[in-house]
Amino acid sequence: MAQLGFYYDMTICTSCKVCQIACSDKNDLEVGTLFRKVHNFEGGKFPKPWAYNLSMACNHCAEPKCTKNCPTGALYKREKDGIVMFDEEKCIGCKLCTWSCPYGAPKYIESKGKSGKCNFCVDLIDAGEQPACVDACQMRALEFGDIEELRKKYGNTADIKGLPESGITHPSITITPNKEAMK
Amino acid sequence: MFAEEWPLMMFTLISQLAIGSFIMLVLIRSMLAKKDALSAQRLTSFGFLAVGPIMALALFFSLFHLGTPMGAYRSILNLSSSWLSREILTAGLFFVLWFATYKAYQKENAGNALGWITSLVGLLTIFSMASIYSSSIRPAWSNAHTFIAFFGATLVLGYAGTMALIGHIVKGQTLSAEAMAALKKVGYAAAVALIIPLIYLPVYFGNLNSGDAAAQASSMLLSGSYLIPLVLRWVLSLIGVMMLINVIVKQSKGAKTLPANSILLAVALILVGEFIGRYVFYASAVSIMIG
Repeated sequence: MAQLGFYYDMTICTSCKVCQIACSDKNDLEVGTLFRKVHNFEGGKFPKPWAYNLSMACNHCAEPKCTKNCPTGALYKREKDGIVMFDEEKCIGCKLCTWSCPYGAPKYIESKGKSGKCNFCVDLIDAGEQPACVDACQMRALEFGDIEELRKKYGNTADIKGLPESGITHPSITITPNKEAMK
Repeated sequence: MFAEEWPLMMFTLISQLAIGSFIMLVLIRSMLAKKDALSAQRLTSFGFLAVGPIMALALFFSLFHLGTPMGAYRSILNLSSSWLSREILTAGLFFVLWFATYKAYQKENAGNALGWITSLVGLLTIFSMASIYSSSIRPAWSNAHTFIAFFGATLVLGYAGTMALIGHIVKGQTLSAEAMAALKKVGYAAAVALIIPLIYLPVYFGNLNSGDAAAQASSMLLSGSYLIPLVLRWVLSLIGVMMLINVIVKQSKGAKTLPANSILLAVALILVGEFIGRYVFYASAVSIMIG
């Protein structure tokens, strides 16, 4: 199998944040740490205000900076599907991953003295199930799968307003943006 | 910011002080080796001893940055792509080579080769250190400025450290003309190392201003909240280095002794200047990431 990735349909997302909650529940995260976060953007003025949402977790980039910069090899790409994996045993809490990811995906967890991040719910995927966030989304705004297949189906848009340039790490995500979010 | 990053501020500053001092001592020793071997030994032996403990202190401080300090040994497991791994390896190697050099230089007639090799490893440590910051997602760091600032700081701190160490050991003694000439030369080298980052500053601001939103935010911090510390940093560093050079130039024409108080005052100004500079370096770096 090739590279796994996410598809996110901004046009139907209601910012209900159930993806965020399902993720925190699955990963048993303490308050304040989010492996998936729904960002809200707004602007314009009466009579034409606008707002859009953006649900973001780790984008399991094709060329991640976190795995390159991590000094211990705790962050690495899984060969068979390109998931950016995290080995907590190896992590020494140097926080360099948090300086490396343009999407802010790895989080430093003070109470553990180590980092943590989205691992695509690898245990569920390996058991033939879906990641918790995808399963929970009531609007079906999130999908996951072979990123090439997703790009064929939904187009290839990883550059929207509010996100850093995709050329830095080549994220495995494609988005259907609102018109205000288009670059 | 300080509560979070003080271990890294201390590690980078103190390791640059140790490596810079070592390089300056090797320079002085090699300049004096043929003309005045006795002075070469007398001026540098205490300094060569002190570099090791200073470097050890820097490495000790770096542990406080880690959430899991007991795992520090694992930091060298990704040498193939991580500059942090390379930094720790070269810093460790510098420490080992320092010990070998220190032992070898207890003999007056030992050659300078080992000193130069150790200096080179020290410079590789600084290069790796700067590369960690330049490979981050903070535009204020991912810039040639980081390299210029770190190498500049290494030589300027090294000059300050060396003068303090030499000043301590030759208190009240009269130095040879050759020794004074050597101290003058390393002073000019330090002045150049101080001026180059200052000249580069407008280029740095230009790059940030023409960059993305995070780059512009850093530029606004540097010319806004951190303008006074930035100006203070340069004023203190310039006065400190000029004071030291002035003392040496005056003394090499006159009594050829090193006045301990003026040297310590100048060294203190340089240390405070570099400390403020490093604080601003950490405080002004804005990340490009969302939310």
